[in-house]
Amino acid sequence: MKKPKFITEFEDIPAPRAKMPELPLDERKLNFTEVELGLAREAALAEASRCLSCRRCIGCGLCLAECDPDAIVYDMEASSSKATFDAVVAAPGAEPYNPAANPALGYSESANIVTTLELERMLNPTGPYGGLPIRPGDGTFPSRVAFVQCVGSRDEGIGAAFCSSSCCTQALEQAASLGDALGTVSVTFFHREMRPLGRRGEELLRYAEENDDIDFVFAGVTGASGVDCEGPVIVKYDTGDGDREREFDLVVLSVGQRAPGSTRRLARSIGGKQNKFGYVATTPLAPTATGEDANPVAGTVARPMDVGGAVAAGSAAASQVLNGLDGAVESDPSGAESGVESGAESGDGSPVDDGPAVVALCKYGLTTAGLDVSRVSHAIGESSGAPWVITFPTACVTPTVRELGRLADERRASRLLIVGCYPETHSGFWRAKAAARIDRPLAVEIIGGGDGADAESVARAAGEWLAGGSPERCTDDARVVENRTLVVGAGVSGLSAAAELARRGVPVTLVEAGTELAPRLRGAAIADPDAAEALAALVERVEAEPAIEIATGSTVASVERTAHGFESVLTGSSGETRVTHGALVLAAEATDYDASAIKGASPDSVITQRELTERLRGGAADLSSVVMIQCVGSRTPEHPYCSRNCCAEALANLHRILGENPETEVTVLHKGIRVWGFDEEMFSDAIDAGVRFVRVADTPAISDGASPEVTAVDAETGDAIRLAPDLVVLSTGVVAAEENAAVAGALGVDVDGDGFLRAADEAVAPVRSRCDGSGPCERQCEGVFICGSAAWPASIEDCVTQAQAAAGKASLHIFTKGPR
Amino acid sequence: MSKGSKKTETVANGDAVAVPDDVGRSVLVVGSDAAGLTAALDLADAGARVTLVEEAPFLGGAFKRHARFPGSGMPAFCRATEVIHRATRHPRIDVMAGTSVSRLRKSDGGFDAAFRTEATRVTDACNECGACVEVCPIKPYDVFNEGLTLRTAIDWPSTPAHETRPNIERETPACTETCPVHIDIRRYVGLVVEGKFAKALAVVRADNPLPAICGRVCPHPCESACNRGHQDEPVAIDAIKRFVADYEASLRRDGKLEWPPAPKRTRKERVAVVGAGPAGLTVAHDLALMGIGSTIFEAAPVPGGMLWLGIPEYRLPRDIIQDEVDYIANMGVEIHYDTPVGPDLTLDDLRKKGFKAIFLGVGAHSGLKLKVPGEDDFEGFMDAIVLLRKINLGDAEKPGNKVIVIGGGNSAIDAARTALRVGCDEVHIVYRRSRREMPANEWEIDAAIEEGVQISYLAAPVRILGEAGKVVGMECVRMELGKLDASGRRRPVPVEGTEFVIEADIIVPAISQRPDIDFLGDDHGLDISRWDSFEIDTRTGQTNVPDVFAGGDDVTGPATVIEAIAAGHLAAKGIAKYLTD
Ligand SMILES: Cc1cc2nc3c(=O)[nH]c(=O)nc-3n(C[C@H](O)[C@H](O)[C@H](O)COP(=O)(O)OP(=O)(O)OC[C@H]3O[C@@H](n4cnc5c(N)ncnc54)[C@H](O)[C@@H]3O)c2cc1C
Ligand code: SF4
Ligand code: SF4
Repeated sequence: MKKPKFITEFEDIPAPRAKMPELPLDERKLNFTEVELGLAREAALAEASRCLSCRRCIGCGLCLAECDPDAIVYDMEASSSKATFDAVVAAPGAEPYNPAANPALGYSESANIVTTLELERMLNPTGPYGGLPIRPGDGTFPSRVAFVQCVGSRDEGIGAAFCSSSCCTQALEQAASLGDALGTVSVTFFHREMRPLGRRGEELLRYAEENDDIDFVFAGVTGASGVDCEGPVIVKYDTGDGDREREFDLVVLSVGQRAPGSTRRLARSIGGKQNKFGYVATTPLAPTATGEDANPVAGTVARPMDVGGAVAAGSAAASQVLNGLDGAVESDPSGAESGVESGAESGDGSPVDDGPAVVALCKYGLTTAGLDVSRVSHAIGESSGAPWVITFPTACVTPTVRELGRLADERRASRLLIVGCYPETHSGFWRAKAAARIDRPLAVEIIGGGDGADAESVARAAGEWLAGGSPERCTDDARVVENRTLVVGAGVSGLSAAAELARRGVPVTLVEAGTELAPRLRGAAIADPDAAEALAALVERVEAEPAIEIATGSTVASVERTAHGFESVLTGSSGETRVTHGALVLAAEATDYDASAIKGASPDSVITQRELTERLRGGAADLSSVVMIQCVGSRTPEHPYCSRNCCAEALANLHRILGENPETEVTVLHKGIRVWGFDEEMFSDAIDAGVRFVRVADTPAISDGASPEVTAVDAETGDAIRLAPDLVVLSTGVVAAEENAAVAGALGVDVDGDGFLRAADEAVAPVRSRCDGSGPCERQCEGVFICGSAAWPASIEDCVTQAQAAAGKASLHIFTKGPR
Repeated sequence: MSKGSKKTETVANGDAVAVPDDVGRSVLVVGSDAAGLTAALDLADAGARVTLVEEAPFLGGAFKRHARFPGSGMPAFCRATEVIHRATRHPRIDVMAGTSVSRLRKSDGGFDAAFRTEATRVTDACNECGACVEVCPIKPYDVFNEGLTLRTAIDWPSTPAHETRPNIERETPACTETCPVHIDIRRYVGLVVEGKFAKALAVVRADNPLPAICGRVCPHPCESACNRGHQDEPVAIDAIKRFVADYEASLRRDGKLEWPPAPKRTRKERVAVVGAGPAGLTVAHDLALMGIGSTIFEAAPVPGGMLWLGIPEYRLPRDIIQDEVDYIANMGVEIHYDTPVGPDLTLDDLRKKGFKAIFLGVGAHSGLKLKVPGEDDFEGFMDAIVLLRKINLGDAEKPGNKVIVIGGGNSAIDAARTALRVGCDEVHIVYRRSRREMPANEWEIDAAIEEGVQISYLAAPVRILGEAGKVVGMECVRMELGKLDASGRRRPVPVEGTEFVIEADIIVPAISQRPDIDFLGDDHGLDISRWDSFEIDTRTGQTNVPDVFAGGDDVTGPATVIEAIAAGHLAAKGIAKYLTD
C-alpha cells in the first residue's frame, strides 16, 4: 500500500519530519561523545503531532447517533474461545512481496508505480475507481504502461530462488484488460522469460504476441523512478548490452508470492515441516499433505500457484480429511451443494405469476459477456413492453438490492428479473439476497448473458418470462446413482484418483489401454528417486485395493447416460465388459511425442530426455559434451502448447550428469526456459555451473550419422551455431491421449483442438468437465470430472492434486445424489 | 463419534436455517482464500462440520480482491461474491472472521484449538444500512483497495454484495503490529502531544524495559511500517521514545524523581539468568514484576551484553545503559559480574544452589571465519567483535594505523567508525556487493562516509598479505555485475586481472557471529541447531530440558535488541508458567 498523491485529505497535518540534531563532524575525532543528540522538547512535541493516530475510530459518537438499530458498541472487547476438532486443514494463503524492500524500484516514491495487486483493484468494478485503470498520481488515463516481471521472485539475493508461477499469466490477463478498458494503450513487458501457466496463460501469451500494442523486452530492470505525480515514470533496464531508459505513464510491478509469516507456527502445530523458502513442505505424490501424519494443507502455503491450483488443492485437501476420519462421513443431501444453491429460499423460480415485475440489468455482467447494455435494455423494452427496466453498474451490491426493494414496493411488484447475472451459479444467491433485503415477497429469476447470446436472444428470454413462461432450465433427473466410478487412464493422475476414491468408499473400475499400470511413468519419467518410489508404492496400493477393479489392456468402447449415471462398455483382450457407474473421471495421461523421425539414423547418440533419465539411473556415462534441445514437439505450429515438464526434467538430468562429471560441457538450445515454482533453483544453479544456454530461433537441425552434428541459429546474435557433441538429448513434449477425447465426444464433454479436455472453469472449477454445447442442457456433463494432463500438460504435483480433487468431487456427486 | 463438533444455529440474513444434527466430524479450516473456501465448502457439502477461521475481518483474502481470474469466464467479483455467500450461509460452516488461532495442539486423535476474535464493535442488530459510513469523520487509507483510496474508520467494503458486518477498527495500527514487542505507539505518541511524558514512558515500559537504549539503537521497523510514510515521511517514533526516556532520566539525575518501589516478591522460587544482555535483563525484569526473584550471572565485568561490548559508545553512552540496568536492579534483581557459567559454575551447580529454572541469554559472540588464504597466518587479524569488545572495555589504544574492515553489516560500520575514533589514520570497508545490497542501515553508512571511512564496493578479499608474521595488507579483486544470463539475472563475478592491494596493518572481518556454546561442556543434553543455536519451543522459550529456557541472539543468531527483548518476554512467561505447573 502506498501514497496515491491525488488524495489530498491528509494535508491538514503538514510539518516535515523532525531532523535529529547531531554532533558536528569536527567534534567527533578521537572521542566517543554521542553523535545523535536527541530531540528538544518542542521538536518532540511537533513530531508527535505528526502521528495520524492511524485514523482509527476515536469514539466520537457520530455513527452511534445515526445507527437506527443501536448496533454499535464502542467498548466491545475481543473474545476468546476454544474448541476441539477432528482435523485441521491449513490454508492460510500467501503474502505478496513488498516491493518497497527494493528502493531502486521507486515504489515508495512514485504514485504511478503500482503493484499488480493495485492494478487488479483498479480493474475491479467495485474497486477504488469504478473499474478504471488510471494513474494514481494525477488521475489521468495512461497510454504507455510497463509491466516489470519477477519483482521479488527468482532472486536468490533475497532468498527467493523460486518462480512465483502465477504472475506472468496474471499480468498478461491485466494487459488484455487494460486494452479492453482503455481502448488504445501500449504495453511493454520487461521480463526474464514469460512463463504462462495453463491453457489460459498460453492463450494470453499468444494473444499478446500477436498484438501490435504489446511488446516484450527480455531485460533485467535495474530501477524505476517518477519524480512528480504528473510526470512520466522512467524505467531503467539492461538488455545485456548496457543500460537503457524508457518513459512510461504507469509502471506495474509483478510482485511475487511469499508463504505467510505465520507458516512456521502453523506448520509446527499440525506436525508439518517447512522447506527452505518458508513454504510448508510437501512431496510430489502427496502435494497437499505435510509431516508424518500427512496433515492436509491447501493452496499457496505449499508452493506458489494460481487460483485454479489453489481451488484444486482445496478440494484435494478436503477429500483427504474425509479419508482420514475413521468411518466415512454420512452423507446428508439436505445441506449439500445443490440444497444450498437452490434450497428453501423464497421459491425456486417456477411459481411465476404475471404480476408487475421489476427488471434490473447488470451492466457489469452484460458488458463482460460482450453485450451492449443499452441495446439489451432497449430490446427488452421493445419486445415485452416491460415498463421498468433499470440498469445498475453492478446489480448485486447491497445498496442496489435495497433500491430494488424500494422500487418493488412502490410498484407493488411481485416479480424481480435480473438480467446479465449467472443463472447456473447465482440463483440461490439472488433468492437468498432478495429474501434477506427485500421485505416484499418476490419471485426471482435470472437471465444470463451466456455463451453466444445476443441482445435479441436475451430480450426474448426476458420477454417469455415476463409473459408468464418459465425459462428453460437444465435439470439433472438422475436422483440416485450407482456407487461406482469409472476412471479412464492409469497414469499418476488416474492411479491417484482411483486410490482416493477407494479410500472414500467408492468402488472403482480403472481402465488403462496399456498393458500395465502407470505405463509411461514406470519406465522412466520420474527423475526424482523418492518420487519414483512413492509412485511404485501407489501402484502397489492400487493393485492390492479390493475396491478397485483393474482393466489393463482395455479401452472404453462406448458410454452413455442412464437414469442411474452412466453405462460403459469396455473392450479388451478378455472381451467385453459392461460397467454401470455414477461418476466418471477422465485421466488418461498425455503421451510422449514421437521423435523417431528426428532421431534418424543415430538412435544411440540422439536420445530423448526420458531415455536419458532412464540411462542416468545406471550412472552418468563418461560424456565430454552434451547438447539438449528443448521444445521438441512443443511450442510448434503443430503442437502450439508448452509441455510443462521438459525444461525441469532437462535441468534435473544435466545436474545429475554434472554431479558425476563436472567437466562435461552441457549446452541447452532453448526457446525460453520455463520452470515454475521451486524448480527455478535448478535453472540458476545450472547457469552458475557453467551450462551454456542458447536461445535459438528455430528448432535446431541434426545431421544423420553416427556422430551427429547440431546446427542452429542463435536468436539474439543471429550467429550460426554448429556443435558436435557426444550425445544429443531431445526434450520431447507430450500429446493428448486419445482415450479421453473418444469418451468425451460421446458425452458432449468439451475437447480442445489439441485433444485436451476443457474444464468448466479453469480457475474456480478446474476438475469439472465442460459441456461442448452440443446437447440441450448445460448439465449434460455432470458427473464427469477431469484431471492431470488429460486436461492440460501438468506437473506431477498438479496431476496428483487435481486427481484427488476430482476424486473428491466424484464421491461428493455420488453421495449427495445418494448411492444406489 | 463426533467429539467436540460445535453445534451452531447458523442464522444468516434473518433466515433461520435448519441445522442438521452433527452428521460428520468437525474440521477446522485455517484461512479463507481460494483454497480454504473451497476446502470448507467441499467438506461441509460432504457432511462434515466446518469451522472456517480468517484473520481478516472478512472472508476471501486475495481471492476476493481480484478483477479477473485467468481462465475463468466469470468476473472474479461475481464469482467470489457467490462463493463467499455460499460459505457464509452454509448450515454446516461456522464462519469466524477477524479471528486468529492463538493455540493449536494435537490431542488424542484430534486437535485442541483456542481462538481470539477481534471486536467488530457492531452487534448482530446491524441491518447494514451504511449510515455509519456516511457520517464517520475519520479517513484512513483503504487497505482492501491497496491504499488507492480512503475509507472511514468503519472497515466495510464500499459496495458489499455478500453478507458482511461493518467492523469499527480501533486497535493495532501498523506501527504497533510491526514492533516485535508491540508497544502501544499511537498511545504514547498521543500522550507526548498532550505533554504527559511520564505517562507516555509508562506506556513504553509496559512492553519495553529498555526505552532509552532502544530510543537510540533500535532499527525501528515500526517507522518503515508507519502510515504517515505514505504521505510524506514516517513519524520519528524512536526519537520520541528517546525523548521521553531521557526526560525521565534527567529528572532523576536532578533528584526530582525517586526510583519506583521494588515490586513485592510473592514467590519463593528463584530463577538463574545467564547473561545480562537485553534478553536476560528482560527476563529478570518481567519475573520481578510477577513476584519471582532472579539472579543474573554475567561473564563480563559490565552489563548489557552486546549493548556494552558491541555497540560503540558514541551511539549509546554507557551511563544510559547503566541507568536502565540500575532501574532493573532496583526491582530486586541481583547481578553478579565476572561470573561466567562454565566449568566452575555449571548448570547443575545452579540447580544445586536451588534455582528452579535457568534462562540462557548468552548471545552470539563468536565471529565467523573469512575463509581466505593467510587468515590464520599473521598477527594483526582481529574479528570485529573482538576489536569492539577490547575498545568498549576501555582499552582505547589504537590497534594499528591502517585498518581494513570486511563486510557490509552494522557491525562493520561500527568497527570502522570506532577505529577512526581511537586514532587509526585510514579506515577501509571492503564489501563484495554494491551499496544497494549493503545490509547496514542507510543512515549509518552515510555517517561513516561523512566521518571519513572509505568504502570499496564490489570488491572481494583474495588473500591476506603478511611479512615477518605480521599483516601488511590484503589483496582484493574487483567484482562486476556479470552479463545478463539466460534467466535475466546479473550477479557479481570477479573480474580477472583487476586484483589490487590495500595496505593495512590490521584486518577486521565483520561477517557474522554465532553463539559460543562451549561453556556448556559436552554432556549438557540440550538440542542445538546446525548454527550452534538453542532449539526452543517458540511459544514458551523452553528448551528440550524442562527447566532450561533460552532466547535472544543465542536462539536466533545475530539479531536486534528489540527482538532479544521480545524473546525475553516470551521466556519470562514460559518460566512463570513452568514454575506454577
Ligand atoms: C557491533 C554491533 C552493533 C549492534 N548494533 C545494534 C543496533 O544498533 N541496534 C540493535 O537493535 N541491535 C544491534 N546489535 C545487536 C544486539 O546488540 C543484539 O542483538 C542483542 O544485544 C542481543 O541480546 P542478547 O541478550 O541475546 O545477547 P547479548 O547482548 O549478546 O548478551 C549476552 C550476554 O551473555 C553473556 N554471557 C555469554 N556467555 C556467558 C556465560 N557462559 N556465563 C555468563 N554470561 C555469559 C555475555 O557476556 C553477554 O553479556 C548490534 C550488535 C553488534 C555486535
Ligand atoms: S517468471 Fe515466474 S516469478 Fe517471474 S513473473 Fe513470471 S510467473 Fe512470476
Ligand atoms: S501514523 Fe505512524 S506512528 Fe502514528 S499510529 Fe499510524 S503507523 Fe503508528
